[in-house]
Amino acid sequence: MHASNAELETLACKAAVGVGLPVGLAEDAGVAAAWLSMAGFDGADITCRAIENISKSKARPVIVSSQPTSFCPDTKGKLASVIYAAPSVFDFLQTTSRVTVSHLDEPLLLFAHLVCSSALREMEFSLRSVGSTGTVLQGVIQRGHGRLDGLPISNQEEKDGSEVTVTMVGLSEDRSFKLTKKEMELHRVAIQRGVVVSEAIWTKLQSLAANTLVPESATSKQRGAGAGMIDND
Amino acid sequence: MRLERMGSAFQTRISFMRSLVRRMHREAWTIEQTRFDLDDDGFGVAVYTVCGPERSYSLVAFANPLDDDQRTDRVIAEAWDASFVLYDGVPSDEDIARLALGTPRQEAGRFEGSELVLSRANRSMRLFDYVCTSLAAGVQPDIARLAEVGYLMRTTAVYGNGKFGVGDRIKIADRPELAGPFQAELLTVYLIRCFTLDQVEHVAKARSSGQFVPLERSRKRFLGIGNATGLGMAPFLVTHPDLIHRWAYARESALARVRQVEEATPEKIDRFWALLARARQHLDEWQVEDSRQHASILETRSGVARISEWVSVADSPLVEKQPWDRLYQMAEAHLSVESQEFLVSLLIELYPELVDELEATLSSLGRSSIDARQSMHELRSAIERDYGWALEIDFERPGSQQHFWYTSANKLEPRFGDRYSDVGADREMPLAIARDVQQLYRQLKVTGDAVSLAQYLLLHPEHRHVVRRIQANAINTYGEVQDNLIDEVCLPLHLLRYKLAFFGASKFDPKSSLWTRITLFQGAPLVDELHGEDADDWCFPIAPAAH
Repeated sequence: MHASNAELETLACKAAVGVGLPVGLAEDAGVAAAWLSMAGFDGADITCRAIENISKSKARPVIVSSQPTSFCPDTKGKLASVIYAAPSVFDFLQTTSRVTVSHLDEPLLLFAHLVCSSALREMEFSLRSVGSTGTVLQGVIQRGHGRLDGLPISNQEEKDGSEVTVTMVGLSEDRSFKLTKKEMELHRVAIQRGVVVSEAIWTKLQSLAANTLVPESATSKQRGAGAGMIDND
Repeated sequence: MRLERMGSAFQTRISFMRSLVRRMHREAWTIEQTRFDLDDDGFGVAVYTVCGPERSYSLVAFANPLDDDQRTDRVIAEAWDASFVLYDGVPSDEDIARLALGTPRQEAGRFEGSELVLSRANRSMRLFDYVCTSLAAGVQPDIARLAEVGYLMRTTAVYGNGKFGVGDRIKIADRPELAGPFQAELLTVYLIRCFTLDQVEHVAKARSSGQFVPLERSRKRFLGIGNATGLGMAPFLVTHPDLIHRWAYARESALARVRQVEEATPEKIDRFWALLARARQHLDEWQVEDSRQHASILETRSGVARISEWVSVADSPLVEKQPWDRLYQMAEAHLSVESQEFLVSLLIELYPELVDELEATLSSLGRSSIDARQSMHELRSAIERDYGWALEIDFERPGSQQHFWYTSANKLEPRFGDRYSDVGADREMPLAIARDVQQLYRQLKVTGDAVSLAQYLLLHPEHRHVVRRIQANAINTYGEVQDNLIDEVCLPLHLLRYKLAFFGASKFDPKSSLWTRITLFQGAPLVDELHGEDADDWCFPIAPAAH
């Protein structure tokens, strides 16, 4: 199915709130989900998995580990939740040049978050992630744009997560980011038609988002909206 | 930005409907009815295509029979008298066939990027049949009856920006004709007005046994489109502080420019008198059942009468230097808030050459990110500087947290609950900004300055949304509604009115503290009047003289 970018952003945000995540983190996850999808990745699936990692207790919030700019999950044996980690990675990069995260569950969502945030703060980073099965994800992020090296990244879950390093790169006027034809086409199609989402994932996100809704009751229906039931006038 | 003042707002020249009509006039847009397959009862399909200088858009309308027991203005409705989409371009027959399946289902349908807006409307049972019967019998409907309602149909939702799969805002944001706030939505409403006027004449003609007369032009122009607005609009104002700041800033800038005018020319004074006369009639014709609004209208009528007196005397403020500033100050000192706001609308109307350009400043992309370089001390200072109003609220006081905002599982209808008697407070929408800011501030004082903001937010992500807001609103000075939105005395209606005034709505007709009806495009030029000289002169619509 097709969904609009705004729809995906909103639904991902609500789904995150639906599993108990703070609103500020959920908003960031929604924005990152939409960017991933516009860039040709399965943003809905990746974000849904990250949200479910929390609801299923596979992933946990991050804490600072032994090094002041290194994050790890707050519980040993768990994954580091990207929804918790990504905003903090960006925060820390505003005052330090390098941040690492161990056992991160969804590095692509971190990548997307940094792309979106870099646009607002005119920053530039490089990101390298090595999964527990050896999969390497590497890319650059520059003022609202991001590009991964090599072949499209596998959208597979790494059982023990990934070790991720994000390094700030000095802003350089002469390295302006030029979208490739393929990237431009992906962007154009996403704006014109929205993004492709699996119906199963969409349903799953809707079901998580439904946790934010208050079940219907006679009182709520009668009083909650301040309006009557019939308007024949 | 206090609720009471927001709830007294009126449309101005830079309201979104006014901008749209001005553009249609300036760019010589054309609107053509390209399909009108309605049966004798007015049911069927119609298409209206509007052509601007670069692009075309089409309203696709579906009108269906509706049982009276299904006609409700609420979001929880499942059927409507008519449903609409604004299509990006000119739809093919295949497109219309596809839309015929989804559009009447509204939220239950799925739409594509080629659709920009989804809407629906119900007939005014008071007026639609009356106008039909009158025209069919060869007589014009009574103007007083038209004035009682003001519209033939009332929209109950107008969805854009990606809702239910329709095109994203970013798809149209760089098109000059739709770049302003809600231009696609309001174009849809304008075209719905065209449809309702054609539909009522079509049905009247079909019912007539030869005596049919078309609706007389001035009566037609006097009919706008109704709208029933509930709580859905209120969260928008809270969740888009950057946008609201821009709207309020533009309006304040417009007023400031007029107040700075050194001298009122005779032409401007004549125009002021003409507007004042029209405004007084408009107020006289504005009838509501709601006692609070009725009292407010009475005060405004009396306020406008006093303004007339002030400017009638020999030492009128209009002969002084900075006459409009003087008049505004007098209003501020002596008149009700709603009278003051009414005067603001009048003053802004006088100077298109000073204010119209501000309409280009009303849009925003609306993203902000946290500046983690800010120190904890700086953050606390920002709260003290910009959120003193929030820190002063006593949240221990019974009643200060009486309400909560929530979304119902029933078609996602936004609602306002009582925290102590209703179920669902654990699923509260995050609109209690004052309470959240206060909680953050208290914790910041305990935390001290030793940690960085980044470290703090890592430990306390529950405050991230508030920190982002506080930082953004250091620039967006009008971005915050400076009241407790969960207090027992909070009137959500004020929020609705503020946003609707920016749309350009008139004749606010509250049905409760959570719900209002309004009229859109009343008095606006008809399709064949868009290029007339008076195309922009329709503020404070008044009933036409009886012919």
